[in-house]
Amino acid sequence: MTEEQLIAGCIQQRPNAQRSLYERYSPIMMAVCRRYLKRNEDAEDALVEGFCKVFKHLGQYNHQGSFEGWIRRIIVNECLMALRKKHALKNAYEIQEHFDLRTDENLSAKLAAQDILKLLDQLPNGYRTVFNLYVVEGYKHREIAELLGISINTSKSQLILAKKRMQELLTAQAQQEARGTARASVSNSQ
Amino acid sequence: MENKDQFFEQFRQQAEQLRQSPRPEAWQRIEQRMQPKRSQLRSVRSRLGVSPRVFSMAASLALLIGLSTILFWLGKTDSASPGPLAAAQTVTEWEELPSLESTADTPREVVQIAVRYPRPKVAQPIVEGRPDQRLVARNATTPRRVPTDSDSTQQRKEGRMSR
Repeated sequence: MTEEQLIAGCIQQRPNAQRSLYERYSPIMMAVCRRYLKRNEDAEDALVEGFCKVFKHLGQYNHQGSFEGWIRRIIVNECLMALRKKHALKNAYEIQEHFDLRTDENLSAKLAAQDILKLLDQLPNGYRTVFNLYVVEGYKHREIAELLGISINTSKSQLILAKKRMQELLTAQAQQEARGTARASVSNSQ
Repeated sequence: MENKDQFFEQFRQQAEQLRQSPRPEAWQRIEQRMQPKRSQLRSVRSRLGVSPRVFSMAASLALLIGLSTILFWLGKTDSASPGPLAAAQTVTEWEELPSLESTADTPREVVQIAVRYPRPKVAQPIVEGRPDQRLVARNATTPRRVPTDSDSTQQRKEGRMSR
């Protein structure tokens, strides 16, 4: 079934089409929810709410831009609403100091899809939200500031702090791996 | 700056590849939220492959046939055989009660009492009168004088005197 047929079927409230659409996009959107929300249960709640809105407002989709992008925007909004409900975005603040944000190329090259969630889970809500919106969703700082009700400088600060924390985490992870390989080589030589 | 963008780009590419299947309960929750009755009806329609108009026409025709069948059955049972409740109440055994006057075995006193108290007459419906009419006793041989207001006060006085 093509995307157009799926959309038409869902507008006509056909259960088969709704199920097919859900099965096609739910793994991608669950991963989106999981990037914003630490707990699987919270991510699933946002997914359910988001898909209910998708099916309800599908008639408003004007076929401009990708359909996946349209669903993604709804899902991201649901995640932000869930974070606002928990007052998780209240502690975002501006920073005055400057950090060296150069990243070791070897570190970023080793970054795997599985590491993404591990890294994000270790960040505070403010950092990870701004980081996701800026880096993955491609929002500008002005748009993020409007979405989250914070200043543009706070948005920039959160991004810098998120990246700094990630650098630290990746460096620590690389050091651990280096120690592990060194131990393994020593035991092999003995 | 270039290095920073590279990290972000790497992160974005990896994040785009990320997939996580939700639990099966998530779809059940969505189904429950989307008006279960309507969706069930639509699933029946889609299974049958019938358009909504034809489906509603068929449903109303089935309803009409069902109602007429029930009405026909009810009419038939009233005229012919009794229903289960009526059958339960049907007389299965008759007991003959002897008449007081006719039997010879009846004690005399009982017969006398029965004769003393004849059957009561069947009450007749009251005939509606007019507002200007007066109440008069029917069986009286001489017409009674209907007391006026002055007479009634006089009688009351006399009554007091006699007492």
